Amino acid sequence: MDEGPNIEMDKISGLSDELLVKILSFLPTKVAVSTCILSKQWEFLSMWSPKLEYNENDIKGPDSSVLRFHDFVVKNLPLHRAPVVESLILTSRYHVYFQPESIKLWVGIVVSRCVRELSINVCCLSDAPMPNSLRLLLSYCPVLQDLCIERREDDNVGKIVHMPMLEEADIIVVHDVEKFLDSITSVKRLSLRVIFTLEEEYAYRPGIVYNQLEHLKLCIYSEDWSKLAVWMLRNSPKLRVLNLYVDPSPQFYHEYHPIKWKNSRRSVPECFRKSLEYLEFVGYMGTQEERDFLSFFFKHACCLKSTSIIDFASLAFDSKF
Amino acid sequence: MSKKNIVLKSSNGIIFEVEEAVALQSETIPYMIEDDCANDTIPLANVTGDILALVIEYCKKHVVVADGDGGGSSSSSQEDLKNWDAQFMNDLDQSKIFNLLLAADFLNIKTLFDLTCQFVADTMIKGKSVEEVRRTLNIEKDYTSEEEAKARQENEWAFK
Repeated sequence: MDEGPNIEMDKISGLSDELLVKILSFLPTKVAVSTCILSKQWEFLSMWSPKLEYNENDIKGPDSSVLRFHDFVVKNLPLHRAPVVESLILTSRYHVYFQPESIKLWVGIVVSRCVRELSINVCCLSDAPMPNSLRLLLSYCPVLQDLCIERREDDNVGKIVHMPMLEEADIIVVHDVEKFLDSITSVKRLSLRVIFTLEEEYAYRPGIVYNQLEHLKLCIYSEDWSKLAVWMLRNSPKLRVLNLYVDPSPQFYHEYHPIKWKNSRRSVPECFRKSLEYLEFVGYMGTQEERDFLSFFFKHACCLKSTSIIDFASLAFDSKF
Repeated sequence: MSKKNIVLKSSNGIIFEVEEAVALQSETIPYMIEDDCANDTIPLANVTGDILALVIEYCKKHVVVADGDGGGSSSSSQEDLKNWDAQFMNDLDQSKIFNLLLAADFLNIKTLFDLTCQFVADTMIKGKSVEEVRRTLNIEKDYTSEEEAKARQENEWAFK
């Protein structure tokens, strides 16, 4: 016990590799990788970092730099040594470099290492849809808590079945939203942006319940948004916070048809009576649909603690959503 | 509820008496109490007195805030705490920072450990050239020129 307690440490090289890796995990991945040339001790340290963020937008310079970045990811991601990968964030603009099969391999690696946050923003323009095996991998993913997916028409992510631990989801969908919503019923926080209106006949069907959902952020992008809003409200009995925001580039092509739920007592969402405390409406434009929704809302939401409605006009110069 | 005090003893024999709530921000200390390491005094063989004083200063500051505002702590107090943290770190020299990092790791005080790691990452590595980082952190270059060039080439995208 007596030996060495008074050694004062004034050199970082006196820290264990484990602590140095910790420090690296607080740096952007690119900076962490660049420490490899400090000394031999640092050469492979970044390969142990539990957080990975490969963002092509960080790469400056000619196409050859981008190519080298892609080569690096393709070569190094499968060799990554960290036994636990907390997060993988991959962003790429070019579709030619990353193949669906590679992405599947990487997702497989990080899923097997307990990934909690996974964000893959890659444009795959190959004809093949996302491999089924990737879909299966994400399905039943035991620990994934945070998922961000932007869907295109022809992928098949929508068939993901069940993610029991998913707590937070940030989702942009083009269609078939209901298939997807089916698989994320455990979310606590959900951010949803639906690009096109749902097909009436199979949308808004009953039976999906978000028992955990407390915070919903819903983007108002197209006409009839309030149908989706009310459908979500009805199926989220514990919702506390509702955040509505108008997309700065909305596409309101169709005429609004007043919605029937407006005065129907029967269909007041449970969360209005029990849990909904906060409403924020950013980008209010005063359309008939918005007014109908808000009058329905204020008439029935009886636990409300705070409301904030921000006019669209006041956002015009600062439209950061 | 009566307040219980805990006595901590640094590696160079300096005694600190702190409220239990302050000491219990360390996840290591409860085990030492359970293990009955000492009757009254908990010896911390890896932490010198000056560093332990800093750790206690940090824990005292953070325990007050956690108590004061309860669950709904206002954003201003969070903001104050952040500023306090920044000032606290800024006042330390490099050797103190590394020793504080070791102490926070040993005592398992997560917020202090993260704060220290973040500070080292942001102020000693990020935005600096390789030579600057080596100089700041006292890292001896043990690569040959060829080895360094090879490492640089293999990770070239990271230097653009």
